[in-house]
Amino acid sequence: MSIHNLLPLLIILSALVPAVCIFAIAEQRVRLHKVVNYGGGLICIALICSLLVGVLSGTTFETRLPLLPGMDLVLHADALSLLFVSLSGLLWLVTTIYAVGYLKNTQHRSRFFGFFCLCVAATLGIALAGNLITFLIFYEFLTLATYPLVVHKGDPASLRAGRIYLTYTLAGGAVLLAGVVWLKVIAGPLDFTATGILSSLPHLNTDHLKIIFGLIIGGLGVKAALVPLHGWLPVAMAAPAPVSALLHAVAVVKAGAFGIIRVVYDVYGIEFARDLGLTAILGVFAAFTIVYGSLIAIRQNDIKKRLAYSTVSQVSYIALGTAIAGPIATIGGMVHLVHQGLMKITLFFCAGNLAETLGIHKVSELDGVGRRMPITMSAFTIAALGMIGLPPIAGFVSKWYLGTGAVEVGAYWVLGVLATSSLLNALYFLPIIYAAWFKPAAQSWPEQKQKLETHWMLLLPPAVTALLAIAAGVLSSGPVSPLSWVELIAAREYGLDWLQTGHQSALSIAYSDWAILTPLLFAVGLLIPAFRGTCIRLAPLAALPALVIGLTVADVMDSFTQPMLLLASLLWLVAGLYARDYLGEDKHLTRYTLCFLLCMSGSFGLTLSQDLFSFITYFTLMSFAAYGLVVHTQTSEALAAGKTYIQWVIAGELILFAAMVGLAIATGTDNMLEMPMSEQPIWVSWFFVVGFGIKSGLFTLHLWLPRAHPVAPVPASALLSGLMVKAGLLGWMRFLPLGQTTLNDPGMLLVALGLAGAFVGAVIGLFQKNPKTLLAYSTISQMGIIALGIGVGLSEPSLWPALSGALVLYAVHHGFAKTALFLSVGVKPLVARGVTPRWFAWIIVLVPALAMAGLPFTSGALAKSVLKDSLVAIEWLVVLLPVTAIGTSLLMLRFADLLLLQGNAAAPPARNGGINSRLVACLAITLLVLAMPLMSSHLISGNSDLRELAARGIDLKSIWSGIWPALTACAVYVCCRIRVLITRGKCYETI
Amino acid sequence: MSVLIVGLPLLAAIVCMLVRKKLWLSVTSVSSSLLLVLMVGSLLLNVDPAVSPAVYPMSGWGAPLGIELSVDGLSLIMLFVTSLVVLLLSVYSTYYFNVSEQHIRFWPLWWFLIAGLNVAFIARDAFNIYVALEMIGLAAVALVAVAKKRAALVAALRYAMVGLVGSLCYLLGIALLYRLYGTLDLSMLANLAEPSLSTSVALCLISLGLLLKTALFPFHFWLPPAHASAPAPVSAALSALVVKASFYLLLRFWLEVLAPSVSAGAANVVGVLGACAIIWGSLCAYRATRLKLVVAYSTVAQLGYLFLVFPIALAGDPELGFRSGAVAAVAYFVIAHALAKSAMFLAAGNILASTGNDDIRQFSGFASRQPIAVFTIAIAGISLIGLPPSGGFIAKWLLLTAAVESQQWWWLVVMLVGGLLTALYLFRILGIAFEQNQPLAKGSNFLVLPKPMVFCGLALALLAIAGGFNAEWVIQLIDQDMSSLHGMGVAS
Repeated sequence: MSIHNLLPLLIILSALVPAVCIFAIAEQRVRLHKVVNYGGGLICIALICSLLVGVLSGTTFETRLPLLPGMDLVLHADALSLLFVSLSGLLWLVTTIYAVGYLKNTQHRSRFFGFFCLCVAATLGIALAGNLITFLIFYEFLTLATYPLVVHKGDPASLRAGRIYLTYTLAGGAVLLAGVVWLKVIAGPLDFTATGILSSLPHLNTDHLKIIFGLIIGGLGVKAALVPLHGWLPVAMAAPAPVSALLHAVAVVKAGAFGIIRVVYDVYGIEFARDLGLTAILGVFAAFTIVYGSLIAIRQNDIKKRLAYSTVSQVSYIALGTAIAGPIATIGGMVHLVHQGLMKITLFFCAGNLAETLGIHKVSELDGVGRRMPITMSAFTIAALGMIGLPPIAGFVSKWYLGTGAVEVGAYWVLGVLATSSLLNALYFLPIIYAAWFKPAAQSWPEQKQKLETHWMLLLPPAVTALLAIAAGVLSSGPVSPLSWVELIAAREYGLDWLQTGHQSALSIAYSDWAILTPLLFAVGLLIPAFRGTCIRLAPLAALPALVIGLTVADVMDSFTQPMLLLASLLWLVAGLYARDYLGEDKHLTRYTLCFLLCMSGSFGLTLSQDLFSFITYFTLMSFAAYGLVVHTQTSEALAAGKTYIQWVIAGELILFAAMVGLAIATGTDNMLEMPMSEQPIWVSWFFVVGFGIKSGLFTLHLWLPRAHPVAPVPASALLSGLMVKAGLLGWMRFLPLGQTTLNDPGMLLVALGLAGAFVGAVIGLFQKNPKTLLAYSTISQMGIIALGIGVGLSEPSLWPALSGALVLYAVHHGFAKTALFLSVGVKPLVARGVTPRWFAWIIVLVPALAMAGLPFTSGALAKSVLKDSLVAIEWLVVLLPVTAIGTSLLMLRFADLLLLQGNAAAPPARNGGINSRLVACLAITLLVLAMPLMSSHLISGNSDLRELAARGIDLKSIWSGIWPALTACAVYVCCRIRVLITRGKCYETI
Repeated sequence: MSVLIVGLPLLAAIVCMLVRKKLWLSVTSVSSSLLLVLMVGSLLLNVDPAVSPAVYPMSGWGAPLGIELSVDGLSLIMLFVTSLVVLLLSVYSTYYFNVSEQHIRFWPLWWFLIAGLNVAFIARDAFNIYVALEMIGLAAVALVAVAKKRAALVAALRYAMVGLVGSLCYLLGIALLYRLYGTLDLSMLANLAEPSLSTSVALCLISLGLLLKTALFPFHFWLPPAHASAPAPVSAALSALVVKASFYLLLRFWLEVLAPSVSAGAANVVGVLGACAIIWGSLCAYRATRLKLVVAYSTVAQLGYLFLVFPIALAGDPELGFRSGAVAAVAYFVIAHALAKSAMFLAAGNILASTGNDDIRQFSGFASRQPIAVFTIAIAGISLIGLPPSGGFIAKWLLLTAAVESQQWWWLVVMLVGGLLTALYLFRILGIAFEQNQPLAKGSNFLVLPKPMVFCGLALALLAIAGGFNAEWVIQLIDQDMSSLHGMGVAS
């Protein structure tokens, strides 16, 4: 027997032998225990590595022990088993470290670790099983080895849990046994074969096969916690945390899911199972479980219970991927085996840490825990966001493949299931994250004795697994990721050499990526206490690389990338500078800066990204990090606004996810440069219109905007209104087939909604008392004009070349001006304090306000005239556009009135200090607004059509067209407000 | 060699009767049980498929009158299991009986019992079998009474009555056979016997006698008190070996000697009774409050599985070949149950010996106080439930396969439900054992047992698990048997 035949057996023995040793070692010899535990884990990983190398090079490893005539105990290492083996081996070691820390100074450790190792041995056996009988043997063995762990505590709750666990699993095991015996009798030794064995056997009664399938899946479904067989899982929470982690992430539920994969792919064969109609039924069960599990999870207050129901839901993704029965969905399902493992084990580690260190068991007790245990809660946050399916964390990759796989075979309903599930996941995970980071601590916790927030052995495992979860997502297209491995498996299962999937690009660090990485590096620096102060002080500078890239690299991708990048980098720089003074002594400055930096990175990233995956990653990063900015002040108003904001964001994400899945499938690539956008199905275009419409505050989808933008701290509001809404525009320009296909319906809708937004936004804005809310409505109005432009581009492709440049120009103009306006709001208290003279305030308010109103020689005039010229073919629009300018002018008047003439805030004593960075920032942005017309030629250099338009001299007619709306507005405003103005004037006189 | 298999225990019995020193008793017993294992082992290794079954006429007296012994695959298996269990039980017993008076009474009876068992396994003559049955019965009753407690004496008396009635029935049955065919040699009977009313009556009487002794539901009433009140090694031997001997004989008569006279209806009746035994025994075990009683009722249930072999093996055309599968399954059941059940009785005996009480409700925290005893019960339980990896699993797998092959799926359901019920009563005990460790009450004495006592049970349980690997040799032995039997049938 050569080493090739022994290796699988050795791997199992590497867990089994430590188990026996641990039982034999006396309880007191703690050090020896640890040595055996770690030694076993390390040896196991070393063996797995050698197995991996061997399998990659094409060697077959098989241990075959005779059991009965015609029935061997087969351990076989193929690609699929290695997937599960590597996961188990790795997480075993991590969990052992955790468990050693967790169970310090408790009773019965040798019993615990003995059974723990047995459990791992059983799991490894399940992974390596080469036929159904061997699988069954280890599957039952696992049931038994887990029982002592579940009842380890010995209190009534765990005993009850153990009883229920056994009732379910043993009954499931009996049903499984019946199915396996029956199948063995009619079909022989049942060795797992890549494309299935049953389809090649003639003369089998298909009815019998269906019943057997039902029996086997019924048996496996118990461990995989398919509803209605899931009852044991939430109860089993009574076990110690490492056990829960193991049960949920590695051993038990995965054994069930893995079994389903094995039976469907390697026994029945996926195509045969589909032809029998079995996968469809499995799919229904899986989909129901996914939704049901999440629904119940929302209602749980116990953290571990909530996580347990989340497991019920998440594990069924694996079954769903199997049931969709397409190669890409197969990848999604199988890779979720690993991804869910990494994320769920992190969550349970964190839950254990909270319970162990602070005695927290309930969701309602989590308020403010993020400050007491930042590392734990960071890991928790990463894993929870991954569960929701946010890119770039591993969970997104699974969902992406499930989604594209479903679209590939035409199972569109799966998209609905995925969307619902993500929504529900968000509903039960986000409140936890929110409470931990944003709510004030409601109680005092035990003092922090050591330097770390808890013992390092409890801290290291979740940190490692959380990082792995990110790595599995970010590096998913790298050579050694779970994803690439799974692609190999899926190709074999379908009997193909290579699978064409929609996702192949890697995130490589190019020159331009430094723009994205720098803020992220700063953000990492924030987490290290020694660098924290420096990072906060230098945070605005994180935008510099982006600025350099924007200035030096022409034509990064297409004509609008560079202007947008320049706009973004300048605004981040200015807003960061502004915030240094504005939030100088804020209690939560670190948190703010972190969100600020993440948001910045996302904003640069989405501008620079070249493929779908990175685009949606950065888009999500920006949207979610902005939540932290919105709720920063934590007033009840801010919290309510934040809630609305995040709801809309999630809805938008889901719609965009579906649209991108459809796009990737329809075009067969995910590189946006090569992507033939004109081939996208019409529903995808609709989804893009709506999804990005939410971001850009399209009328009727704008409801979150006037609530969220004003409540943030001033610099954040400025960014939200000036820059982040432009992500919607960018998305439209990137993904809609503008200039290529005529899409009349969405186009006309956009025009209509844009116009409505432009007018209604202005009208509602006029009645606002809060200047920031007014500005938010002004944003809706301005974005309405941009949406209108996009709509025209959709329905009249011939106009697009000129129009695209005009829209970019308009967006840049609006970005600068709106930011300047928002920033000026924060100058008012400075005037009251006497830090700055009144005339300065007047300048920094009036310059951008006039630009917004589009007075001649300002950026607004330029942007508007260019836009009008590019729309000249549509006459009625040319007539209507100046009318919107009246609205804008009215808004600006009202704003200046509110800010400069009305009421004075109470003046706290002035802070001394040299140059006030707030004023510097205001000055800078004002200068930018002024300089914008000069820069315009540079901005639109890539667009030849527009250059001609812009090069036309300025004549009287154009000056007049800039002035008359403003004059009209003045007249109207004075008429309406005459009495107020007069009384106010009298007041001034009396003063 | 096969003469020695019977002779050695008899010799040991005589020596034990003469020797009265505890040390000498122990040495004699352990060494002769070791010798027995070695002998059976060498028989097993040297088994020659060409001349199986090997027949040895004792002192030259052949059939039809003399004492003829024959060893085939099935009897070899029985002998081997018996010798193995006896070895460990003997080691255990040298530590178990701490009063020398008990030693003196125990050892001769013990070896007498083993001699009877070995005779029953290799006798080729119906009357010799009767003698063996009487040897077993008398020795067993006396062994139950060794404990000299009131409950034990009552149970022993009842056991004795049942044994006598059973033997009487058997005797009537073979008398009838002798009247009909003029011989009691089993192979001759197999050739001569034809289905007739008289043969059926004889078969009925023989079966009734053996069923009483095997304690098939509803004849199980005597078993739980007897097995539960006997000393631990005796309980183990009774449950593991004694009831199996009468079952073994029943199997011989039904499938080999009088096979043509067995009707499908009868087989089904026995099968249904077996199913009832599985369900009823498990339920009683679940309700029992004393550990040894639980184990005893578990024996009632496990015996039920053995009887499922008849409807499965006798279904349809015997040439289809489920017969060999079913018999292999039942042989495996016997092996697995013998090992697991004796392990369990020893563990229960240990608990009883160390606490003086085996009330289940007081088990709280035993998993940490007597971990090895609980562990023994747990892994023996795995085999009883039929979970892998264990001999019980292989046995159940084989029987399930045979049931599916003979297209009688309802036995499948019975077996699976039986397994779940077994799990129910075993994990009830284990659940209590895992309860939070309560501090020992003051004054409750907790004896620390000698190590070998603890490890004998564990060894038996581990052997039951080991039975789950490489089961091929058992099946090969049975296959040989069946092919030779089949060849015989064709020849006649």
